[in-house]
Amino acid sequence: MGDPRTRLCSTTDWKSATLVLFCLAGATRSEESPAQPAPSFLEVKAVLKKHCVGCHNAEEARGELDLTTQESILMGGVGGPAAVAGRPEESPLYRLAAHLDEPRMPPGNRPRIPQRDLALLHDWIKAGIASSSPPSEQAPSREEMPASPVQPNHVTLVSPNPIARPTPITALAVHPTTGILAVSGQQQILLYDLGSSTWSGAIPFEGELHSLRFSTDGKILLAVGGVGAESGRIVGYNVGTWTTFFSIQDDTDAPLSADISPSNELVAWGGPNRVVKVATTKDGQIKYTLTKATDWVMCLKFSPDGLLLAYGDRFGGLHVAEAQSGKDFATLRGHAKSVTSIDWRPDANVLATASEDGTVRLWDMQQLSELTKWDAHPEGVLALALDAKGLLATAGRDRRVRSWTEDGQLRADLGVSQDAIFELAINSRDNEVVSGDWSGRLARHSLNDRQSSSIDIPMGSASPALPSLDVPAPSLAKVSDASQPNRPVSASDIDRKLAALRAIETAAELMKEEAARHPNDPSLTKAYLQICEAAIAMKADLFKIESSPINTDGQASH
Amino acid sequence: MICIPHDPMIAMTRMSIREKSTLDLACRRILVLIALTSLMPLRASAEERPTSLEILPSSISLTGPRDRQGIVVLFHGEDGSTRDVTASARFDVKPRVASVTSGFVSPSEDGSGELSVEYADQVLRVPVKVTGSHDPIKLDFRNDVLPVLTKSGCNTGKCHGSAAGKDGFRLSLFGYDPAGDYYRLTRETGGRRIQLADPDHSLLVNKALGRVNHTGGQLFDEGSESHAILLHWLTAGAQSDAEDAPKPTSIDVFPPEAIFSSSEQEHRIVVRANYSDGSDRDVTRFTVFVGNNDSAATVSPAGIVSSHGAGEAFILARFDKFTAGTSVIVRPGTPFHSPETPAHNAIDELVYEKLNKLHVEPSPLCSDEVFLRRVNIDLAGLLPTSAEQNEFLRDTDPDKRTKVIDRLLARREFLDLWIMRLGELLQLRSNNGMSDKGLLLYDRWLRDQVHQGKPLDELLAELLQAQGGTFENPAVNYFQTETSPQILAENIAQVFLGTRIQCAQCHNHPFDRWTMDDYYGFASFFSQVGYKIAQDPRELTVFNTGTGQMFHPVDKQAVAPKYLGGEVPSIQPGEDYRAVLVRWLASKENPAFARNFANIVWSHFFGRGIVEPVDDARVSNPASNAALLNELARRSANYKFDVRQLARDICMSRTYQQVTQTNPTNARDQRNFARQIVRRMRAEVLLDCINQVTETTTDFAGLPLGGRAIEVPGGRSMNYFLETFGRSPRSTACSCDVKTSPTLSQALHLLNGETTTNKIATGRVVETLLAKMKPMDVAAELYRRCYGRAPTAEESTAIAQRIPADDPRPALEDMFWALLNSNEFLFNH
Repeated sequence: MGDPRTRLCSTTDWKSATLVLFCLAGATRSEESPAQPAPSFLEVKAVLKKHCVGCHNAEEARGELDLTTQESILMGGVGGPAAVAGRPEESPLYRLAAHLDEPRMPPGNRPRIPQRDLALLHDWIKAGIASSSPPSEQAPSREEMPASPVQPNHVTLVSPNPIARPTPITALAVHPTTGILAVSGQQQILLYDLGSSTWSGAIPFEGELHSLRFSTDGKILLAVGGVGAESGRIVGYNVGTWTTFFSIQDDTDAPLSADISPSNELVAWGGPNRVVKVATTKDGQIKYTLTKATDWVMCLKFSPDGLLLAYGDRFGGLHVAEAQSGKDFATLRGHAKSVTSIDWRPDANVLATASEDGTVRLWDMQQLSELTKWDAHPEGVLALALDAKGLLATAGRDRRVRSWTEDGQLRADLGVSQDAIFELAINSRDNEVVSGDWSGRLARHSLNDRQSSSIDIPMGSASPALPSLDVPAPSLAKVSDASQPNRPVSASDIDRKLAALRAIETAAELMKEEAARHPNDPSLTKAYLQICEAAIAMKADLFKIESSPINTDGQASH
Repeated sequence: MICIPHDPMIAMTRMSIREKSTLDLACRRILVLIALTSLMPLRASAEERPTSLEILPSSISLTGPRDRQGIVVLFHGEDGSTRDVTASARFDVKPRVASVTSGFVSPSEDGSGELSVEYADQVLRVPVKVTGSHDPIKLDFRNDVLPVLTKSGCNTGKCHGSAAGKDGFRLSLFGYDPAGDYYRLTRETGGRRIQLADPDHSLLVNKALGRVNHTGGQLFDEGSESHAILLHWLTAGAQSDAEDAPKPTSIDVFPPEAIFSSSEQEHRIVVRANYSDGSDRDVTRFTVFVGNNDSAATVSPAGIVSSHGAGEAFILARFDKFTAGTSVIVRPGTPFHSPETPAHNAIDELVYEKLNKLHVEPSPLCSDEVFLRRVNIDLAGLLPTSAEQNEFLRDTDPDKRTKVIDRLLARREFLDLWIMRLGELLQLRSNNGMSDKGLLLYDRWLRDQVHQGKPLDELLAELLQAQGGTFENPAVNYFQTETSPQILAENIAQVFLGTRIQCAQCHNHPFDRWTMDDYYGFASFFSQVGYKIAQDPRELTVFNTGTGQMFHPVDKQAVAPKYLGGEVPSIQPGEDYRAVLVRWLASKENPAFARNFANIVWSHFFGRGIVEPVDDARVSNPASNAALLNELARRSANYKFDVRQLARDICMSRTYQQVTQTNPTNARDQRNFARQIVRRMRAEVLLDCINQVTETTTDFAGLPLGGRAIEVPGGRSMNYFLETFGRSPRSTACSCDVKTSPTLSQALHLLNGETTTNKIATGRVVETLLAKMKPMDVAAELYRRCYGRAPTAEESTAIAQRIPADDPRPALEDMFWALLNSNEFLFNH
């Protein structure tokens, strides 16, 4: 094999030769540096998640590409495999991210991902992709990937952490028999004993809580939430000991709603990614997913007999699936706006739904038709609950809590809160309804005397410190001497850079040919890539000079 | 003349950096040398003393602890250029109620003081008033939080401002609905978007900072003012705005005009918003800036304008629902001596005033031949006959051009051209079941009114409040063409006020001053137009119902009629809303009407308006010469909108009579009328001219034999030639309906189609002429007919070689065909 350096020098002009040599020297140097361990898929996953997974995930999969798992990356999308093990330079994943090929990713004139992240992708593909961790044995389909079971661990009930300042109540549940109230707090689940009217403690919970629910038998408290647009957590706690029964991580988003089947075998959750996922509580493996929702999944609930699973979306879609198989069972049309809340009559024959369209609808699940509907809260119904005694309670944007007969007759106005009421639960034991509103007010409304009383949430005493608000001084226009226009970048500077860029591009072409001729010599490939990177950096630099100051606004379009 | 360096200079600015070679580099060095040497004597005489210094704004009022005010110190050079010298000026406030850093005045103590600004031995003073400097900070959603979202681009059309939102979250486009945005941010979903207990972990904040996956990426930095504003507002409970919270009422942009003496300079723009409580704030950092000509000047998100190459740009500033801007001129940076071009009238003076600002020289006056052909096409829609040419060329009267203009204006044809234009403006066509009878009555009515000398304002007054049946009162037909109040309002605004308000139907106009309030207020004038079928089923009766209202789609409230850009008029009970509109439309209170009229007339003679497109005057598309437009508007009103008098002024101007050839300074400029513009004849005029020179006629539906194309009523041409050459179908009110752009089918039609070949054959012009004169004289006659000039010596020689003495007819007919296919014939130049 001839020395590529001499060949390159002989075919390019002298000005560029120095540059090429410099690049090759750089390539050699890094080659000699001690081999670093191949990046783990966890690191890669973090990079992909930050830049790519928003569009390329199991649910959305633009270009039919899902970048959430090793297998799905290898499977690729419409353009074939996204990565070829050991060959980053042949892997679209790397080439598009490095802007070596069109379409450049991320799309839409967004900048290239940071060099550090790019290098990580490169090295991971180079190291062989799957070899860093063994592929899953059962070769699961793409839906089965995101969940990962966590071993049960003990959670100590702690004393409630005072909440810094009033915040909307986003989740609320009442235990079917004991009168324990679970309610969302700041990074915690607050537990309150409705019988003795005392706070009994708190379970720490990382992230925002979006839903709380007790299982039908009262043995499990299901909590769901996470960090919006980042990650979700679905956790089951054993009631009483408050140990973790199961914990499932969902890497797409924080779910908005979740439910556990009456047998405690299945757990279902859904949220802004429009998908309902159903997993087994035993090992957290995804059993199936439901994709009929056309907007955020707002609410879902298993039927009391465990046969069906109903879910509603933000577009007004209401769907029912068979709980064991995930097969579509019915689509119930009627709601014009977001379905906010869902519940079943204990005999499983009637489904009740609430919607932003202001109505409550009851559905005959034998005939699969609408039984009745009525305007419950004209500005929007946000919460609904049914209990075994035939009580139907609702709450809405009009700040009211109301109870109804099953044919839509108003039984009672149970109280008016301070703001829109998003959460509601029935405490059958004490014949009352508990509500939580946007202003953070938690209240119990007795069905006996129709009196309401607030439940004081433990609050921090100090008034919140407002963050400082400095007003930065603006930048000024540079003052130019009228006779000598200021030239920050001289033309000769640009010309020099252009000549260098042309030289380095020529060098890259030659190196590519050389590498193609000697496919077994990895050093050539590496050198080629490094030249490419240098060229990209120079291009970016030149672009910056040419277009500076650039109007990055891009808001002129309409 | 020192114009040698111009050419390469222009060539260079056009060239992208990539294309530059070392040769260019050498050129540039030489150029700089030339520029420097020629500047030397100038500099020696001017010295470094400002001819005038200006401080903007001229008074400073700081209200509350967060109020700041940026200042611009402008240095007006002797040559009329401006320089932003803020960074070099020295500031001092006495007594010390405020301090100044980076040209940014910050409050220290309540009280009044004076800011002195010192630059180059000049000192200027502006008053400073500070109140509430130690009050607690209270942020409003609309005035503090929403501007952060708008500035960051969250509510643009391609992001959350799209009608369907983005990724499940919708904001109103550019924040036209603050209450709705507040609701969606806080309460639409219970706890997803904001976290009051832990504000910094709100999804809103996480997304904007790019901490979590966000399609829009990172919008601002951790610890930035935008970040702090969101946190502060969330920490304080994400409160909604109080009913009496101040609302922005207008914005001021400083400086309103910047004239860069060369490229590679910078100017800072400061934007001040005025509020309903009388306070004002510097909102520069929350203003969205957009430039319209990046090759001349660009603007940074912070409002720093940089000049790049000679030309004009308009920098639009948008804050809340207001748009305003700064007009920017970048001079080539080469020496310029204003030429002493003689002005024929005030039009020329105003044009030259602008050209001197730009350092552009006008082109010379055109020859008599060119003038006669041009003015005939523009005023009569016909070519001058050879007899007319001979007479004009022989005339030695120095006022002979004026005489021709007056003679042409007195002819019927000029008004016919104007009627054609009005027909387009009024969309005079059969539509919505309008019968042919209705159309012809309507066309006849319009024709009679104009020929009887009815001024445009009176004609519109009759049209816009017409009542009765479409047959009995043809003016009523205007309300049959469009029947929805919104579209009627849009059309009136576009056609008679020269502005497009369509955007404001669904959201505040992002690049203009129009808000939804303006839109529905204006549409409201047509909310009481009633329709019923008359006895003759082809006839429609229009009447004033006296009831009915427009409703604002955001708050669902009834909107009272409001003049566009004007007041809410008081309306007597039972009064026809349309009569109230007519009272204002062409009045002094509505200068837009006269400006639009003047602009439309002007565009007829130059192929482009002073505002271009003529029906798209916007804050972001200002007149290229506002003083000229205002003068023409003033004259129009004085002439009581008599189109002939305004046309006379325009045709008399030297600006109209310039050659179309360029000089190095005006080659790239079409906006400022430093030369005439080569224009393709409109379809109707072209066909009439072909008929004229070939001595043929075309049959038009609805016209007697021999009728002219410019008289064809309605929007359906029923004529392939007219359609191909872009006659307006009159289907919309848009000026773009008339097309004069070349297409392949036009070229093919002229080459192969029946129009030219057949007309040459049926007109037998060559044959007739040959009977009277020698072949070479026939050739010369054909040249004069088509080009308005005799063939040149070179052309004559070439023709002579090709005409066989025994049978000259086929060769001459071929030459005739060639003339009709040439650009010199098709274009007015």
